[in-house]
Amino acid sequence: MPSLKPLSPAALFKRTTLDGLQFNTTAELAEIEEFIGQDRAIQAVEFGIGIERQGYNLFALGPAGTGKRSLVRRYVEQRAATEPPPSDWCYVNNFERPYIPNALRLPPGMGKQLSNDVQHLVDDLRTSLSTAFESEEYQTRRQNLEMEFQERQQESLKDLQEKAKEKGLALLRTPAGLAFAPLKDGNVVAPEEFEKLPLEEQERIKTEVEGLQTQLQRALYQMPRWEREWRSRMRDLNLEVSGFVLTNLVDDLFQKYADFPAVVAFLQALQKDVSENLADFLGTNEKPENEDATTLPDGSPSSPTLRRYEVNVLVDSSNLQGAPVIYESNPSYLNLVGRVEQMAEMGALTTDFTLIKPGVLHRANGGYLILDALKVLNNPYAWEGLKRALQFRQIRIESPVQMLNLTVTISLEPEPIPLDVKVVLMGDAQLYYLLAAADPEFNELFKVAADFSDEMERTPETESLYAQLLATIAHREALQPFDKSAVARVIEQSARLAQDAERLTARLQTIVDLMEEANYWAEQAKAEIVRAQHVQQAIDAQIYRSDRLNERMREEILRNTILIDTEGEHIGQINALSVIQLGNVMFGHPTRITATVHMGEGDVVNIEREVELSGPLHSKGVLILASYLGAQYAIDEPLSLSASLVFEQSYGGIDGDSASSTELYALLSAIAEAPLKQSLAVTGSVNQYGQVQAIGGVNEKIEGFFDLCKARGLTGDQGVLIPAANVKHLMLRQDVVEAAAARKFSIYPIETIEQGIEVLTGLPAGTRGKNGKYPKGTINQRVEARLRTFARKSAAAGKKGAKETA
Amino acid sequence: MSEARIQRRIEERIVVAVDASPHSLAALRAAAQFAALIQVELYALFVEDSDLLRVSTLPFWQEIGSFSATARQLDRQSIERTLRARANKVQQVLAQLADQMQVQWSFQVMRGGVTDELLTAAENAMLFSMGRASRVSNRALGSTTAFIIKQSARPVLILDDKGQIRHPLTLLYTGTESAERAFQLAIRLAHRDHNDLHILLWVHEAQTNAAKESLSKRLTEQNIRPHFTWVENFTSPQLAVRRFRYDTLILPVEQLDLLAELKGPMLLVP
Repeated sequence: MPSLKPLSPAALFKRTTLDGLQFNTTAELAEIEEFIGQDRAIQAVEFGIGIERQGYNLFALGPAGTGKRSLVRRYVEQRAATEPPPSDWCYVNNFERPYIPNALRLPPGMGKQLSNDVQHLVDDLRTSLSTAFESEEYQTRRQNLEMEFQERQQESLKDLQEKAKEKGLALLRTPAGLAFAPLKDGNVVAPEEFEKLPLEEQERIKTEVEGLQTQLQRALYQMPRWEREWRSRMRDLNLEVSGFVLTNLVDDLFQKYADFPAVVAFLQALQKDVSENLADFLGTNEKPENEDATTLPDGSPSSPTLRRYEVNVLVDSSNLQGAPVIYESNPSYLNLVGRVEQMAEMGALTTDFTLIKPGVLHRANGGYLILDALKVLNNPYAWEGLKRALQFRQIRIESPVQMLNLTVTISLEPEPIPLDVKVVLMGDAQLYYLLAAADPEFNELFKVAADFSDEMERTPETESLYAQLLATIAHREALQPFDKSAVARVIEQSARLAQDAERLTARLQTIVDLMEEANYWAEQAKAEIVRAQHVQQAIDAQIYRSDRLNERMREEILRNTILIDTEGEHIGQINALSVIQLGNVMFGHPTRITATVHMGEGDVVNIEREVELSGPLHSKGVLILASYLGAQYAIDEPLSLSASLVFEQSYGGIDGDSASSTELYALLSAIAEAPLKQSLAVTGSVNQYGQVQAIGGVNEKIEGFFDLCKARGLTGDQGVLIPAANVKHLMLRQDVVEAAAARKFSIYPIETIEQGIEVLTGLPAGTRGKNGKYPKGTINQRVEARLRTFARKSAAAGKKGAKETA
Repeated sequence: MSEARIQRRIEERIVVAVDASPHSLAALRAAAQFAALIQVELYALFVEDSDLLRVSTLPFWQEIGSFSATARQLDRQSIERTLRARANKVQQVLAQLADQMQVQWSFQVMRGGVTDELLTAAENAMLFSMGRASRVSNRALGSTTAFIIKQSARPVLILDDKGQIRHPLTLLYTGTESAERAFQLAIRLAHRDHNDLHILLWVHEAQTNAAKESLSKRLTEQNIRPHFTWVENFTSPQLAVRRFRYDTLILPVEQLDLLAELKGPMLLVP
């Protein structure tokens, strides 16, 4: 009989008593900071947001549901509140090179002010310029100039008309010009009459006409020059009048913004541009005369031409109390770095600086930006754009097409804006390590890793803290109060979720979900306080909702479609336990492993590996078995054994080494020809020295076999062998604990293969005596004897073969 | 034709002087708008200058280009050809306009002295329309246009190359007899129009209220909504016109000087 005792019920489930905390319901407990057990991450976050050096951006890594975002946000917001609000940023027209709009940096709130001031200036200019150009002074001077020009034109022609008249000639208008013709009695002379004139007279008229034609040509030559001169003088007049208006209006702004040279430069450029484009400010009737030949549009309030005087306030910090903290849920490239929008105008796409839109980098500039790393990586070019901005510490608005140099189309190239932002990326550890390994720039730009733990130690003190945390959650989520038993049950479930009786999960989202569901069941029961039974109901409902596949597989075993014995004995056949994880659902599932042996060359054939269904960890486990056999039994003789190991009815891949001890038991049974109890199932990995090592999913594995045995009827012989190192992980279901207490189901903590084989066979494993031999009848003796038999036969076969060859 | 029939015919047509220049084509469009508005015939007159044709056979005769100032020989055939082409162009534009606006139209080419022919035609129309000048670049009133305005006993509509009729119309009322006639014409045009009329009142301060009252009463009887502006509030009528962007102005002929200072269509009423 095996000497190893099964575990006591107390070892199967560690209860929470909360003896150190006096309360009836969570309503009586004080709220606490929600971030317990994350000291390392908190320290990293504090360091990351405190250090003001390039590249010290943060990566908050850890599993989902650990409260990364809340914690980061809380600490960042606390810090941001103590910092000054950042500068305003505006884009204004670059009047020299409109395709490179200028960026203006202004103190918080001044961007909007400048925008309003310039808007008022433009409005005032419209009114004042109209008034100025309607003024009597301007009209009179303009009229004088115009009259002067017209008179000069008319005088030159009139003079010629007079001269012609004196010489008996008339100036006639022809289809495309002017011509002289002889007159008689005030009428034009007909050709036949002209021919009747004396030749001398004809000659004289001809000469006079030629002379006048020359003078006419000279006069006409002068006209365009006069017109140019007139235009120039009109321009001077317009500049004089507009200059007066402009100086008056802009001077105030020059004084107001005297401390900001960039704004002053912008106002100077604006002033110059206005004086060169007066027509844009005046209605059709009011346009200065020299503009009327142009095709410039009417300067109505919505006139697109006046848009160039606008101030595009990209970042307005007027309402900020501290530094900005921005979380962007859609970190696409354009949402990060901003974009230049376009609008359709007369069938073509056009743009200008007013269509520059900020990205989150603009809004977070001078503060903090929180992003999900995976979302950044999933958005094309977003990662590149973010890195570029952080590397060069400036925001350059480029379309992805521009960034990749795939276009030469003229577009805007807004002046880059200096960037001073602390970026916090959030993601899981795998993503962090992948980036760290694959992207050299990542390590330079994200130097601080805030590593969030998914579990915390379980002690009476932490349990008390946890209880207070649950009270905080209940209050925050407006749940009904949880009584002490419910709190204890939630904490126990937290340990179960952590897969460790000595740990509690830090994935608070799962706990929040559980509390909400328990609250639901309490409400359904019209209870005003959530009790342990409601928490248990929530847990059971969660399991039931996701247990369909588990039940289905168990059914197939019960129907003997999948062959698993839970009673009797078999040589080389054993029940292993595996865990199936589908999404968030995990359940244990027994699998039959069989082993066969025959004489051979010391190799253990892993059938799964032969058909490529074995993962590397499983293959490693099987290779260890051969080493174990060699070291344990074949020290002075070659291991002349061939063995095959099979996961029966396994049609998918197998990985992990948690079945290696199980396989070894099956192998030893096959070699020793000692039957194994089928009422037991085994889990645990083994090393070369036969020590049984811890595995994962121990609770689910035990429960998986228990459910099968329970369905077939508990006999009292049934149980599971687990590594002793896993005992501290046990947080078993209540029905399993109860069955163990009633001695209907046993959990054996196994440290060595010898212990395990004794439980499984009911035979002693045996230790070598002083003579170096195992006692007769022990498993080890039987194994060694069989192996020696194989070795001798193998050696004999080898000699015989050699003779035959010779 | 009896006197009454002649008078009726006069009252039922608008005559427009056309020479294919941009100013005259604008005058044609404006005349067509009015003709459509008050449902009268549109009669376009193209005058071939007989003096021009007569002298074109002189051996030394040359034309000096008004823009290029170059001299070139012109014979009678080429002048006639040019005039014919222009008349054809005008006729096409006229036909198109009349078709668009559903206006009855006629077109005539006459040969003679330009001023005389136009003045005669103007006397046989309820309204005479012509361009400000025959040359685009000429801002001043053409000599023929100035002569017709001064001599004609009929309202003359003047347009430059960019002019077009815009509603509502604006009347400059000065209280004179011609202003009264201008008022009558304005009523006729506004009545068929949108029933709105801007009135720039420019009478002696003491008469302002009385004039306003009288005009209002008469307009209301005609279901026309008047909108008054006092010129005295501005330094001059031209400033008032500019401020309110009044575009199509009806004014008594004695305010002819405004033509030099304002642009846009102007209907001068003798």
